[in-house]
Amino acid sequence: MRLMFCLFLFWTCPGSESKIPTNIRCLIINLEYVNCTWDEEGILQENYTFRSRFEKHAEKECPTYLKANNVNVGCILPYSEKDMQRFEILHACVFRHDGSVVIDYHHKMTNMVKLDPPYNLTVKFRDPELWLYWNTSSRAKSSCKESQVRYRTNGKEWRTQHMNIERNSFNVPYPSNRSMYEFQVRVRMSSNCGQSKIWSEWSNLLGWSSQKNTNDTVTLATSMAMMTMYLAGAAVLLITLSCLLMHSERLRVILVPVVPSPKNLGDLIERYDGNVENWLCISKELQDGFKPNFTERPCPVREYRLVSQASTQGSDSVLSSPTLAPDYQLMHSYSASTLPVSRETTQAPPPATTRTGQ
Amino acid sequence: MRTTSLCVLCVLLAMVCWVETMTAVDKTNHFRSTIKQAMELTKKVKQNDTFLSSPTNDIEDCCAQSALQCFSSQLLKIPTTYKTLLRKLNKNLSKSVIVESVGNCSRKERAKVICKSCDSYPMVDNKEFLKNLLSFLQKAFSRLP
Repeated sequence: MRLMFCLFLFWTCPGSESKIPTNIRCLIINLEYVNCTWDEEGILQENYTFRSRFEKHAEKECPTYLKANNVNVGCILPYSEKDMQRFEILHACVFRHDGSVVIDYHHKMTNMVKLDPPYNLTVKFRDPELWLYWNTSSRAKSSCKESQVRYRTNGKEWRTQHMNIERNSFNVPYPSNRSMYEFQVRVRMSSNCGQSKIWSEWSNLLGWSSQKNTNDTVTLATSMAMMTMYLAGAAVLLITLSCLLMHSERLRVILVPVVPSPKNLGDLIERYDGNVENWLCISKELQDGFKPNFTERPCPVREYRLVSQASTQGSDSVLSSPTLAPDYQLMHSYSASTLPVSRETTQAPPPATTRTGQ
Repeated sequence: MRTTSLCVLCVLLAMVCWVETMTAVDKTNHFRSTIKQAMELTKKVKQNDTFLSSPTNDIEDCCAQSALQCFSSQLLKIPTTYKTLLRKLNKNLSKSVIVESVGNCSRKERAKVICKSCDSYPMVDNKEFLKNLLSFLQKAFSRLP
């Protein structure tokens, strides 16, 4: 009974029995090497050996083991794309330490290629389309690769687009100005060269938002700053003008003239004897300031009148010549100045003289 | 006179470059369309009891063109309703663009090698035959520069 109970425990307890691998999984990584593993079922406790060969080659033991807890769990095999080894069948076996076969594997590797993810994602906005570009590993030629793009707006669900072979670009027509876009790309071998069942890992995430949004934000900030500057300037100007007004009487009188109250107009006229300047209470200095303190010399201006030749007989002047213009007679002589004329200027002007040609 | 000769030489050179470029592009496009036809046929044709001689991956060096001829000769034996597609594929397989692309040996090297006859290849069903043909074409395309 006790023995049965122990056997039952031994059978049900998961950690007590050594796991035996039942499957080998091999992938060609980026057309550089082959990665085979046999620890899918769980942690292995026994050390196994691995031997393999491609169709046209001799069988060899694994050159580089992958280990976990000091136990062989996988193998890295060399691969040659030049020999097109992926079109050959890979024969592989996992052996126990006593040489017995645990698993054997015979698989054509054409569809078992996993490429490295795309890199160097860039986005360019060419009105009215948003273009995404990327690079892929150069191990496989471009006509042998096909890409898949997925993108989402504002963190919503992903939308997937399958790209044609050889294309390393994708576009979103008329992208929204108010949305945030996120892009990812992955790649695999295309049907032209033996389509792979396995896609690469997704590339790094690339985000993009409208340039116009960014510009609007910048413009608004700039406007606010300018507005603040204008207000500050206006306040400073106001304060400055206020100070000037308080200290400069002349400026105050000009800008803010005193307007007498018309209530007691009659009394004002009697008191100041009609002198308006006294009403305004302008200081004497300011009054004198408006009076001119210079004199202007008057410029005499004479007016001439046309006189006929008959009135100038016997004259030797050139003017008697029939070719010359008729003589002029002084009409008036007056000063052009509007200021009070001094005694000098009021004297009679000298008689008009004409030059005679001799 | 010298200028005219130089101009004629330049024009001839440009023409040769253009022809070479167009040939390379045509070769790639032609191959792609042939692979596409083979894929389509592989998907559409149902498996049946017809067995055909099919070269596999263990084709000897410099025997690729001989293998292609074998594929081409067996193709029309496949019973299917997609006869037009079958004929188009068969026609493309015999074109020089494909024939020259699958081989990786010179004429002299090919002359020295004795390749297997078509009958000596293993017999497989029509589905397996088309898969082998597709794989053969994909391998040849991968080799193209």
